[in-house]
Amino acid sequence: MSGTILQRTAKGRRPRYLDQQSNDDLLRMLLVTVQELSVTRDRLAALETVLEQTGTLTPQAVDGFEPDAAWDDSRSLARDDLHARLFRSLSAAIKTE
Amino acid sequence: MLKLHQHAALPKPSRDEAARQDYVHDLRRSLAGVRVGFAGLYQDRIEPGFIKTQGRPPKDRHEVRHAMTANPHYQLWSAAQRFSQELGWESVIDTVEARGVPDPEVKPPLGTLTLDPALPLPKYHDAQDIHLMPGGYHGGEAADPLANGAVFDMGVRIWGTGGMGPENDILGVITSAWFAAEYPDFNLKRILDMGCSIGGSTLPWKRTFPEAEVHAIDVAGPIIGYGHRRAEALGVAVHFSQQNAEHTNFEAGSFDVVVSHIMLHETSRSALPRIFAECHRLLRPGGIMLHFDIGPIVGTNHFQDFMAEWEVLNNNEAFLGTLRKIDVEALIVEAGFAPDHVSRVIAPGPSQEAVKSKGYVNFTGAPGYRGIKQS
Repeated sequence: MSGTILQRTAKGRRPRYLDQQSNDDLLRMLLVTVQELSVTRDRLAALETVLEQTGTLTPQAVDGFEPDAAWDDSRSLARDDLHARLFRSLSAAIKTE
Repeated sequence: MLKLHQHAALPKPSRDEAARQDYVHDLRRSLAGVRVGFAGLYQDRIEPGFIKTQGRPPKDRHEVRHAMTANPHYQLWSAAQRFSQELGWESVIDTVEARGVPDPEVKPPLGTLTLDPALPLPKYHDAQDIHLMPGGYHGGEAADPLANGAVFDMGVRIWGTGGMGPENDILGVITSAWFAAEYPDFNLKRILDMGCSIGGSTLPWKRTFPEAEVHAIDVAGPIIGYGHRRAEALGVAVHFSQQNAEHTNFEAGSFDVVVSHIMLHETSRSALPRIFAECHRLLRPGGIMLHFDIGPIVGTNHFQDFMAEWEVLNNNEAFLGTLRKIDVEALIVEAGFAPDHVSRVIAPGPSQEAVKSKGYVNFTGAPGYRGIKQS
């Protein structure tokens, strides 16, 4: 740890978007949950790649994994797929309302 | 997926931090895809609904806003878009907190850094944290003198989904290339980049004009301090100093070119005349002032106008909307530039080759305002 503590909330106007504040909060919580799911999927993919390449796992192997551009691109495609499913109903409603 | 050039002053994210950052990067790309659908929704449903109740189409972007923000799909998208911005900053703050800002200790130093901690922060930087970056450029409650510079460097990649390039430098690359082509015989010895932030646009000017002495100023200490460290790490000699573009300590007539990139919209209506007057003072006769920023509103597409202002209403870009509506050229004339020496310019967007090799966003060009000081 560098010991640095940074400001976490931006100063300024905080608009409300949905019919009540708690729904805004719920959406934010949902996005953080999906984000952590994506982080876990990336970690699993890293673990699989390390195992495939070395046939073994050391304690720091996943944290020390240095992905190449092709690996990053494949994870990016997986996230696009996740988002396509996440936003499918919203996109459909915008088109056909 | 475009990654930042991992230079020696850039904090390196852990595996999970990188995954969080990349997630928000891709979330924003997907939300941009969802956003495209609103043009059809507006045309097919929202505007006809408005006409049905009002007997006429919306007369301006404000009426479009009232109609659009009442739509639950737009509400949901807009909330997600806002939170993607917040989560983007959070995801890079994790890395900067954990790692700090590495010091490559380049010796001998190439450029210089002059901080002025006593410099008053203008209201337009203190009233709100611009584009929701917690602590803004000045760092707010952060004690680390460089941290928010690194937060900005890493966060811009997420905000722009990589379109600024691996060194967040697309604007400086295209503006300096435009200048070199527009003025092949110009004697360019001394350049000032105003509102330089972390120097993303400054460094390409030095690379394009390696013989020139390049100065860069910004009002906020952390981005200047980080900008200096970053420039040293990237091997580019720039003289950074913490100064307000409204009043600098440089000598009158001491610059051949004064330039800024997306600075004007982060100032204020009262600051603009002072900035232009300061540029006029700083230029030698025949010197050129260039401010690249969002151009004025053209046409009467109130829906596009409304969507273009999402950042104003939701991303703490308070002055952006006003800048699009005022006569900037008139203000430049009032600051002392002759009317026939003031014009609008466009620095063409990146080449297809650069789009492919650097991952730059493909766009037509950066609009700017030009004032030439009379000889």
